[in-house]
Amino acid sequence: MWRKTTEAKPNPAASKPSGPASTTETPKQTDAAPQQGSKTSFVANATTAPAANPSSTNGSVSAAAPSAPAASTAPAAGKSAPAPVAPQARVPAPAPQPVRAEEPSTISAGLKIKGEITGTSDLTIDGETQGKVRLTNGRVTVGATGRVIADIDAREIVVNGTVQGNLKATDSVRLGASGHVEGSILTARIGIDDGARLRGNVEMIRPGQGQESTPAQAARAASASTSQDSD
Amino acid sequence: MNWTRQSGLAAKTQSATPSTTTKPKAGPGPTSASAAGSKNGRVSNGMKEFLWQISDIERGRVLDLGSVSQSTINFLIERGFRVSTEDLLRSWKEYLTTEEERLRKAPHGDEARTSQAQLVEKFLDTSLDYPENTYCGVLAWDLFDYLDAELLPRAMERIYRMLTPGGAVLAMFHSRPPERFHRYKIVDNQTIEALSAPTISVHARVFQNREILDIFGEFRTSKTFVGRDQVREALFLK
Repeated sequence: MWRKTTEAKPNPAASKPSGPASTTETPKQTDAAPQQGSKTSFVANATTAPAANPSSTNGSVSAAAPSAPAASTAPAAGKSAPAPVAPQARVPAPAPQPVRAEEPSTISAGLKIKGEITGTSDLTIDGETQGKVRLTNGRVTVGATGRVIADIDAREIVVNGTVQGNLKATDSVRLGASGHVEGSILTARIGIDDGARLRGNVEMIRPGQGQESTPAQAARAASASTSQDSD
Repeated sequence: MNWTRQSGLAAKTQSATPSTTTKPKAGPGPTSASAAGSKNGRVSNGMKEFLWQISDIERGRVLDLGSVSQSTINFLIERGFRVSTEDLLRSWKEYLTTEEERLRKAPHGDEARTSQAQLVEKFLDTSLDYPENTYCGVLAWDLFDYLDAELLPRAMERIYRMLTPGGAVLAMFHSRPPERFHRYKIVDNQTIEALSAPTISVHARVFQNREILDIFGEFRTSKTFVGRDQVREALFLK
C-alpha cells in the first residue's frame, strides 16, 4: 500500500501545484521522503515477503516502526484520491527503489512476531520472533536484544541475541559474544566468539549444500551426501 | 595460535627439563593464568590420550560440557567428529538463580521452597538429557569439583549412560583451589589453552585421588596425569 505512494512514477504531474493546501503538504512529503522513503520501502520489503503468509501482523508490526512518518503520508494519499499524483510528484524521483531490495528488513526491539517469515532479503531481528524464519538467500541477524524461538534457515546467520531453535545456514553461522543458541547448527562455516553460548550439536556441510529448494535438488543432494555422510 | 603453540612447546621443554630452566612467564595453570590475564597454553597428556582412545571411531560424537569454543569445535570437526556442547555448570548456576528468583516472588515464600535434591531432579529434566550410548567422548574440563554435592553423582550417572561402550571422559581436577575460573579450548593434539573467564561458580572442593575414583566408580579404567600447575587430568573409559 505504501509503495504506491512512494513509487512516485507519475512525474509529469509535478507541474500541477494543487493550491495552497498542497503546498503545505508537499514540504511534509519532501521532508519525510529522505527518511521515510527508505523506511517505508524496507518495511514494504518486510511485508511483501511474508505477505504470502497469513502473518498480517508482521506487516502491521513492522510498519509500526516508521509509524510517525507513515501516518503523515497516509492521509495525504487518502485525501488526494482523485489526484494522488500531485503530492507524489514533488518527490524528486530518487526512486531507485530497486536498491532497497538489498537493504535488510528489521524487526525492531519491542516488536513481537508470530508466524513464518520467508523471503529473499536480509533480516535483522531485534525484537521477538516465534515460528519459522526462512530466508534461504538472505542473511539473518539476531541483534543483542533479539529473541527468536524458531528454526532459522538462511544463507548466513549471525546471532548476538538468543535463539531457541535450529540454525541451518548454507554459508555461515556466527555466534557473537552475547549470542546464545539452544539448538543444532548445520552450516558450512562457523564462527564463535568468546563468551557465546551453545547448547546443541554442530554439524558441517559443504558450502551451498542444504539449499535443496526443489525436490530434484534435494534428491541429488541426498544421493551425493550418502557418499560423504553415513547417517 | 602461534603464541599458544610456542607456549605449549615451552611448557613441554620445561617438563622435560624440570629444574634447570626458569619458570615460564606464562606457565601453565590457573595461577599463572591470572597473571597472564587471558591466554595460557599447556601440554595436556590427558587430551592426547583421550584423542587416541576415540580416534578409531568414525564420525563419533563428542560432547563438550564446558563453554563453547571455536577452536575446540574446529579441531574436533576437522577430525571427523560430530560435536555437541552444553555448558553444564553455567546452566546449573543460572537455573539456581532463576529458582531463587521464583521463590522470592512466590506468594508463600518458603512453602514453595524445594529441596536441593528436587532442584537437581528438575534441572536434569532438561539438562544432560541425551539418549543412551550417544557419545564416544565427553570433555568435562573444570566441572566436577565445581558442582554441588547433590548434582555430581546424578550428572555422573547421566554421563555414564550417554557414553558408548569404550567411550572416554576427560576431566580436570584441581589439587588446590584455583585463583580464577577458567574455560578451556583445544589447540592441537596435546595442547589445551586455559583462559581466564568470569567466575561462573566457586570451586566447591578439592578431591583426593580416591574420591575421584569413587566418583567414576562405574567406569572401567582410568588414567590420571598431574600437571606442573597442580591440575590433574583424569581420563576414564566406560
